[in-house]
Amino acid sequence: MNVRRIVASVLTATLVLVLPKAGIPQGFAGLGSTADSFAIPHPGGRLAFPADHGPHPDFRIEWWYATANLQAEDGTVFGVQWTLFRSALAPRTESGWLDPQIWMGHAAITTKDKHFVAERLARGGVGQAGVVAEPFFAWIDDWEMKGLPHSGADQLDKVSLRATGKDFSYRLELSAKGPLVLQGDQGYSVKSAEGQASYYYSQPFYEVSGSVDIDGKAVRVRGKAWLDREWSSQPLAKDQTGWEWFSLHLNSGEKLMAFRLRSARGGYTSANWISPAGNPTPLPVGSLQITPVRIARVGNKDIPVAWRVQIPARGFDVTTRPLNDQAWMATTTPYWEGPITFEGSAKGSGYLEMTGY
Amino acid sequence: MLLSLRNVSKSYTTAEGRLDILKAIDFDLDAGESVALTGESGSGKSTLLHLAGGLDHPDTGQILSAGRDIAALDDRGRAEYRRAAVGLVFQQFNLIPSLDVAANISFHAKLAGRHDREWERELVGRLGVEALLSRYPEQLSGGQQQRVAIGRTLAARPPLVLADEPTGNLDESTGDAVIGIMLSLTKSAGAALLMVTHSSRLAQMLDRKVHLSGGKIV
Amino acid sequence: MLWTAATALLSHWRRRPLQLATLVLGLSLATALWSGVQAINAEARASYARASSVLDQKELTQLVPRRGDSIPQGTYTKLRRAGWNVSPVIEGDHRIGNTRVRLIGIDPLTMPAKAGGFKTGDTSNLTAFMSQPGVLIVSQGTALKLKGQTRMQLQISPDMPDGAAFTDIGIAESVLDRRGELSRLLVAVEQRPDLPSLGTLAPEIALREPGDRPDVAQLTDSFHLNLTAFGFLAFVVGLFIVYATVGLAFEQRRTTFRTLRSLGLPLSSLTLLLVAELLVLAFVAGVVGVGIGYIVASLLLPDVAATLQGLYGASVPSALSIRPSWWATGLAMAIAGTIVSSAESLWRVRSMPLLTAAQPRAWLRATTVGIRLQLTVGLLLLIMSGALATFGHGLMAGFAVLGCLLLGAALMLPGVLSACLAVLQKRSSRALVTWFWADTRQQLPGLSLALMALLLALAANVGVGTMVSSFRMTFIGWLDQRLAAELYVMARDESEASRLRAWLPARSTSVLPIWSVAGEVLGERLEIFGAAADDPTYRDNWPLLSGTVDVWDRIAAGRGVLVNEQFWRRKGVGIGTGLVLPGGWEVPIVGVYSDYGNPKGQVIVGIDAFAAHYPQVSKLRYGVRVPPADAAGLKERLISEFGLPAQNVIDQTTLKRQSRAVFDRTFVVTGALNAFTLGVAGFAMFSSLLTLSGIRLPQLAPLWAMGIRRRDLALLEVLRTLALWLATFIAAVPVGLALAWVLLSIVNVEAFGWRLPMRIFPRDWLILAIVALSAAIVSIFVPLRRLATIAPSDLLRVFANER
Repeated sequence: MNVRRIVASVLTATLVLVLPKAGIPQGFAGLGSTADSFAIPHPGGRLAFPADHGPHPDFRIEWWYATANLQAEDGTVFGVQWTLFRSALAPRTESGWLDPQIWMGHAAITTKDKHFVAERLARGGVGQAGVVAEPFFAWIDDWEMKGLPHSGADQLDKVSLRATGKDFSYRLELSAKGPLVLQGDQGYSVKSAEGQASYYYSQPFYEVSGSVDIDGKAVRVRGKAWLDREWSSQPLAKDQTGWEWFSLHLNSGEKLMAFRLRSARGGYTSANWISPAGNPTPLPVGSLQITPVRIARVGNKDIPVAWRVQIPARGFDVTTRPLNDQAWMATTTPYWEGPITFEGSAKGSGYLEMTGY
Repeated sequence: MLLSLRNVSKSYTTAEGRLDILKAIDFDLDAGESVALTGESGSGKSTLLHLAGGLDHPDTGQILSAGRDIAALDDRGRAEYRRAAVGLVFQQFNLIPSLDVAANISFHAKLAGRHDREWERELVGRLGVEALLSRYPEQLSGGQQQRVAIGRTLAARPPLVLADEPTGNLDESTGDAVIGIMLSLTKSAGAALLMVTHSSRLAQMLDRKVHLSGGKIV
Repeated sequence: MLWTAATALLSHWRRRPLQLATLVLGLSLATALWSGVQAINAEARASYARASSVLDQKELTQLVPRRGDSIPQGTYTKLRRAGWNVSPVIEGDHRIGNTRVRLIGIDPLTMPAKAGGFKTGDTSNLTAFMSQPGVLIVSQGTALKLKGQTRMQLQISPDMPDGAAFTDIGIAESVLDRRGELSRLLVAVEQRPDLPSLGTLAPEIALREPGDRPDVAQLTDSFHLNLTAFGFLAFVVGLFIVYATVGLAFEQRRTTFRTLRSLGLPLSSLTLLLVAELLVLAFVAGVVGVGIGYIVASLLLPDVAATLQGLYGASVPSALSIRPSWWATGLAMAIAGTIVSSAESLWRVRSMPLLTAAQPRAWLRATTVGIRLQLTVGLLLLIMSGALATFGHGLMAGFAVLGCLLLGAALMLPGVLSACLAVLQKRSSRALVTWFWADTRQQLPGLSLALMALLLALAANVGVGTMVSSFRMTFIGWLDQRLAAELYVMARDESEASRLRAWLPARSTSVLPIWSVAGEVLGERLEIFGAAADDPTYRDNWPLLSGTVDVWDRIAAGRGVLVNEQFWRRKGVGIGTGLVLPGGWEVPIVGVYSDYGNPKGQVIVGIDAFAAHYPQVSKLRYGVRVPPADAAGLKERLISEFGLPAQNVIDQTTLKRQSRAVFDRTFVVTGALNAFTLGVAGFAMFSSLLTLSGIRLPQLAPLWAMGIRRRDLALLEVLRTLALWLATFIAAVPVGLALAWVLLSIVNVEAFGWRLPMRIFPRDWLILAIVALSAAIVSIFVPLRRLATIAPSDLLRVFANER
């Protein structure tokens, strides 16, 4: 038993707040479902940029979440994840060690047969981690997501992405080929029938170039990336136990964001159809159906790694396959996150995240 | 009369029961007389010798020496008797290992308060142990040891010398030589000698022979 | 065949139960002391290791400031941003109520996985841990002391050492008032490749490689070495018993060996049987010994814990845990010891010609050559000891001096005694007296091991006793000087302290602040005190070992510092050496003072300079000078009028009494081990005498036949034993004094950092002599009874039987 472990046991509780996508122990201290003195999202709240690219310390949780489907010149396929979570112990900031804002970074590279994960933790107030809206800069230790000089209208139009783990690192440059997309109702994304919600917007149109380095071997890569931005204080309903979340790049240039929050009563689904020009069409509640196709043994758990995703109203019916079954994020709070491809009524690639297993 | 045993009986309790060693023995020894005590193994020769030497005491009877009854003496009295009136020579030589030959020879005489340098020097000469004086018992041969033992006994000029198979551990010629020296020295010291032996050849060298059998003198 | 032979061999022990008991008990006692001491050492070391791994994270590389005692927070951020996986620590001493706690502020978010261990309950919550008022993770014992004294939540962890607390770095920063000042950085084992170099990134800090051993373990090394030495001494003394008993048992069975071999038992089988027999005996004795050792250790551990606390401030639990490795080593020692001490006997059996008569006396035969050889080796050892004392350095050299001294003296003892006895024998004219000395001399070889054991035990007693008494007298004299103030008071907080500063002057002769900060000087963590050096209390009383003429003026003016003796010796500094104190100011040393009972270095500076450089220091403690007659009255008024709690006002007498009590407890263990060693030596003597009494008969019978009474023979035996005891005792006194000198002038200096004047306490020797005499009388009682009650028929058998 070591210092780290006590902290870990304590931290699990906190990470729940950070990572609604990453599974929630049921009924933990009521924090999963109530907001205490934190601000809560409300319908009709207009998002404003670049201010909303920055942190919202009065909300309990927030993330900057990028996933990329990449390919080397020889055709080797890679998945890359870069995430910065913010979790507040109290709705305020302070300079120094007593700052209640806690930051957590996750980085991963997935190949056909390997999966590399790294995690960083830091508290705000001492400059070790944070986010600045303009010029955009998000960092934890030596990991960065940094706004680059750009011609477009938005701070996030062009960013560089950097992370290092024990045996991997990557440096990517992301250029947006389309606009920011507001999820839900103008960025107000409902998460349950009871009305739990978050503010949620995305940049799904990144073209990527750069290099990934595994065990000291650097490879040039190109591909697509997707950035999610979300903040909230009351992410899940009491009975929700985890979720499946899909971000899909269709070969047609269209994008689909789809998730299901599992609960005893079957779950709450939500999807957003995004046109190649970036026009979102939130689909009605219940229009998405997802069904597991294949279960894989991951560690000591059974995880459904392949799914049938159907939106009958759109005539959309595809089956997703993971690049690597074992894309397990062995972080403080573990979850499954990895690149996928899909076939059926449409073809393409994307990312799948599954929590609560 | 130097020593008189009157009606002396001695028995031991052994694993097989009571064993009568001596049965109402009467025995006299004159001053200056030498007597050989013979008999089978277990006939009581050694027991008689031990009684005479005040080493043991009888169940019944009297042991008179110079008018005193040794048998009636207490521990202290018997020790005094052994010191002053008796000299003992054993088969096992029984020298004092921590003392050299010279100290061994004068030891008993000093205890008895009769240390006489002249007499000791004469003894040493006649015993032929001059060259051995600074040696220790363990450095001596059996014959040499027994000669030293005899010297120790006679240096104290006891009126009575008791010897228990003094040559038992020696070969015949050495034994004869030792006995010869002992006899001549006892005579010149004027001491009486009572010697236990199983050898009739040796017994014949003494004035008188007493044979023990079945706890009786025959 | 083997089994039949074994029965024949073993029947010996059935006929001699006392010999068997002696053998088993001797070996058990030896193993017991050895393994008891080892158990204590293991427990203490485990506790240091635990404390060190938890508190100091010693197994990690660390980054420490090159100068001063803090690393700016910005450096930490810079390193993290450059990819260095480091974690910050802010630590310092913090007083909560009356309890001083070492507060260690950590950052749970970046703490490396290997940062050492303690458990917490599952109720722990990061929110509470990282927010005001904070959480203290402490041991059960510390929690009891702190209960109700702090707003912080107390969380108990069984793995925490006493007197320390983990808390969040944010909490520690504000409680210790070290805003943005980090004490050190822990470097995680796992680092990314291609780290930018530290030299260019942060030249103000230095890398400290993981210390393989905890500080406190190094500090207490000498103490444990002491214990081990005692344990080993007792073990060796015990082996003497085994050697003597096994030797006798083998000699007495020569006839049996001969018969068995004549009947066709191969020599190898016989040896095998004897070895098996010894191993079984050793195993049984070892188990018993380790069992007794466990009891001994449990009894001693509380005192050892008190000693370690008193001498070094090292916290050791007073309950013993059972370690399998310790059982194993205990048994191994017993078996190895038996083999070593029986090797000679076994060898003799192997080389024994088939037809040699049993000669119990030959076994004891004085080998003049052997005694001479011993004498020579002993003399060489003594010379070596002297040479080492003159030219050697370090604690190991000190112990080598001790070892050579004791072993040399012990080896020389039989030779010296033999020579004395020879002289006595020559000078006596009476036959019986001559025989007495001659016979005593002849018995020496049989008793020499026991006498050597006795010499060692007695010398250790004299030596350690002298050391402790010298120390005690010096310490008490020093206390009288050092604790000069009539009252010592402590305010509960700073506002009360400032009220106290206003309240006291009108009611006392003078008020002496006792303020201190912890910091690092010349790489050692120590306390820096401020002293009102212009007060006569210091000038008149403070015990200085050396100093400049105007030492107190220079201290008062802030132009000099005093250091304590241990710091002075350890660092090899001298008057005039400049010291860089925390905060980066440099002052020369102007004096050295003695500071007993404190393992750490200490520095004293003038109070004004102190207050100027450390304005944030807690100003709670004061010494108060009043005319002695008024002390009780002022104490009363401080409590009733001023409102201090009674336990915050301590008068000089109480303080001295407490200090003396601490001191006395400190040496309880030494005393106990001394007594144990003496006990084992007594037992060695007993067993040797018992052994001898069994083969004395043929030596005594001729004397009895020549008219010495049994009673007188017995009396002579008593006199002989007493004479040997007395001779050994007389020999032990100079050896003991030499031992004390080595302890005081070499070992103590190396181990504690202070040198003490040696004082001589003949009264203690008298007490020891009486104790030793009683032991002698007890040891001879059984053999004597045997001799005195021997029947004439047994004596006669000596003459009659062929043996």
